[in-house]
Amino acid sequence: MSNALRARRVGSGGAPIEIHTLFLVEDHPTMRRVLRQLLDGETDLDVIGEADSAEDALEQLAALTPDLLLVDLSLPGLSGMDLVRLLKQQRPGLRCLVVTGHTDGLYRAAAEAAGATGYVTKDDPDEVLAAVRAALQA
Amino acid sequence: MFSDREDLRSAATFTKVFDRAPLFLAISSLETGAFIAVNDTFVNATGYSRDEVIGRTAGEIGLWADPLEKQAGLSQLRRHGVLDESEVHLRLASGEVRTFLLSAEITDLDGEACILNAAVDITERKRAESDRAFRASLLDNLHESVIATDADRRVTAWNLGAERLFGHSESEALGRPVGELVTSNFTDVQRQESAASLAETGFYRTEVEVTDASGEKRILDSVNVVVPVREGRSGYLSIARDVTERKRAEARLRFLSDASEILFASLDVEATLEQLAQLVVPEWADWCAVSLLEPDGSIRPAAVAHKDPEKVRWARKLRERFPVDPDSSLGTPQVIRSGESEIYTDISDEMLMAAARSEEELEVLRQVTYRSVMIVPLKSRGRTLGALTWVRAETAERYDAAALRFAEELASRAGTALDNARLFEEASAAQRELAALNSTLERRVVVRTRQVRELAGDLTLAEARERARLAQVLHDELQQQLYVVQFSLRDVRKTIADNAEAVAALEASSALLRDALLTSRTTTANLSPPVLRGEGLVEALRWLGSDMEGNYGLEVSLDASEQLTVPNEAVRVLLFNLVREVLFNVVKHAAISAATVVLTENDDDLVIRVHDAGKGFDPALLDDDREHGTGLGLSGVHKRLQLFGGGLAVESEPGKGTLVTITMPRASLTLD
Repeated sequence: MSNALRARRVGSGGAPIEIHTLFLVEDHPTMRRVLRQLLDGETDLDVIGEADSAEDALEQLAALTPDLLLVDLSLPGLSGMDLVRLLKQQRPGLRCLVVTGHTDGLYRAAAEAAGATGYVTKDDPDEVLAAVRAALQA
Repeated sequence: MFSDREDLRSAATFTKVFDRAPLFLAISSLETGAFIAVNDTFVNATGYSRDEVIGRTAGEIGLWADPLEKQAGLSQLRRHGVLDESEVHLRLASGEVRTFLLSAEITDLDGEACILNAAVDITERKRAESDRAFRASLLDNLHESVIATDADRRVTAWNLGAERLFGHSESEALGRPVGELVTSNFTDVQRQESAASLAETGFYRTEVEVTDASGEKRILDSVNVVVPVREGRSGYLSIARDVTERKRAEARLRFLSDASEILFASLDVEATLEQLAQLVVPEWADWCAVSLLEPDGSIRPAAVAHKDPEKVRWARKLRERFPVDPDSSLGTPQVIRSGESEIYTDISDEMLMAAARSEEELEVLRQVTYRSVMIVPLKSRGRTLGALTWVRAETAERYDAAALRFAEELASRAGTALDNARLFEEASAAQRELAALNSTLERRVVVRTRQVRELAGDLTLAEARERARLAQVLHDELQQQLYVVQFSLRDVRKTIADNAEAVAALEASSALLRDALLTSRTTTANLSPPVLRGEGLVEALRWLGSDMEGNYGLEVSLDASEQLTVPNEAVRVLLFNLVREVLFNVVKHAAISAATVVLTENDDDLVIRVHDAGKGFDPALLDDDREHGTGLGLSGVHKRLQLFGGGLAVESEPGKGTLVTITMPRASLTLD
């Protein structure tokens, strides 16, 4: 789906709504699916791509410029933390939100140090949405 | 008496000659024996005047001191008409008896048969001869060699002692330069010293080695003096005493003392034997051999010495060619069997022929040029260990009883030294064996310890890996599924928003789901602490502290240097698990919400002290559980700690808190 198409979306009041494009990096297929459902269920959010590994994500992102990247930390091969660090170097403007099962403060601190825009656990879907919006505003 | 002028002239001449002759002359009647005429010399020599003797017989005046001599002289005169130089003893007027050499002849004087007696007083000469004979006999009876020389060192006297020593008779020696007769080791320096001393003091005494008639070396204590000879010239008198035996005895004593010192200084058997043989040559033997009795009854040539190394090599080869026959009834085998010495003062060719087992061996024996041989047993503590053989070959000395006693004395000391060396070697061998066993044991212990540590490490790591795997499963699968359920519940909530009851039930389920997620996450973290993958133990403990505070409300203060690393993963995991177990104990039993963890390092160990000021306990209550660890539920980790050389100590008292001290050798922190 292109940015031009998304830009045509309109809100319930008929006024045009600003659409934010998202890219998911999550290795667990079911989790990836429910996460996508959650995000696609929001009218202002549009998941434009997904990857099950950091390597796959890097490849796809060569042709995409999403507004926000949602990154799981536990990934096969390169970790989510590595991906955030790499993208921060290669695409400094690209925002990354870490969406993870790790509640540990050390992870949070490490993610911030790597350049993540935000950090949220997967415990509560509404918290995830709130974190996405906060990251988009950041 | 005189018939004519010629006769008269003859008579006058005779009378002149008769009276002035230096011989005493007397004419007596053959028939009566009465003196007819005597000359002046007679008067002077006998002390009788002409008046006292003319007309009287010799018997009447008592001239004959020995009537038998008178009878013998007269009967010879009557038989032969002459008496030639007969030694007679005459009594003088003074009563003194003197010795005369008497000649007489029957002659006709004016028709009367007369006896013409001529005599010369030889008393002084006889005395001098007698003195000379006495002195000569005196000199000859001296044991010392007495040699007199003139100023040119030509022999003027040579006694029997000199003859015995140097082998030349007096007649051979007289008149010859002494240097031709006596071979000595007198050096030019000694000669000058001798000359100087004789010139200055007329006396010189020295010890000198000479070669005697048999070619043997003798040591003489020589006293030399200057003696006047005649016409103002001087000669020399040399009196020499043979001190060879005394010197040898002294040298033997000295040698025995030195030899003992050398022999007892070494505790190496072979070296001791080699030294023994080397000590004896060349002074006491031309050849010296040491043979040892081996445990199997054979006789081993252990050492052989000669001043010429080439000959030693030759002898060794011969020993191989002609090994000792242990059953021989002579020589070394017999001496070793009997423990009794053998001595062969002179070795004859017949003896060699008897000893040789073949023509070839005989030839070799002859080449050795044996002269004199001694074989003495090497004994110690009543056992014969071997034998020592002394051979004189190149040198002329013969072994005698004194030499044998000396050899036996040396052998006795050598036997003891050899025994000592053997005992020491046996003790050393036993010690070496023990040391080797110990070393093997130590090596095995080291290897086993390493193996046990490796196993302990493997076990710890396997355990850690298994925990990590479980944590992974929990995180990757269970937690993800729980998230998915949570996400799905959100969708369900949208569809039942109107049904308040259902929404409430769903919220309750969602809350339970959150609890399950929390449990899962905590379990995951406990199973595999996320930071343990680096080398820093301190970082991991800091994480542990915040985890304990976050999950259990225990505030942990950590005091440690950030530089402290534990490269060995198994040890790192072990120490981390141990501290965590101790902190869990604080949470469960101490009834306090704070603990301190202090890490220090000394020269040997890393020391971790976990302290709480909680309610404490009586450590005696733990005793029953001691053999299974500390009684604190740390059994497994504690045992593993011990495998790495570490230790754990618990100090506590009711109401006074608890201090757990964990030590780990620094060497174990970096184990491969």
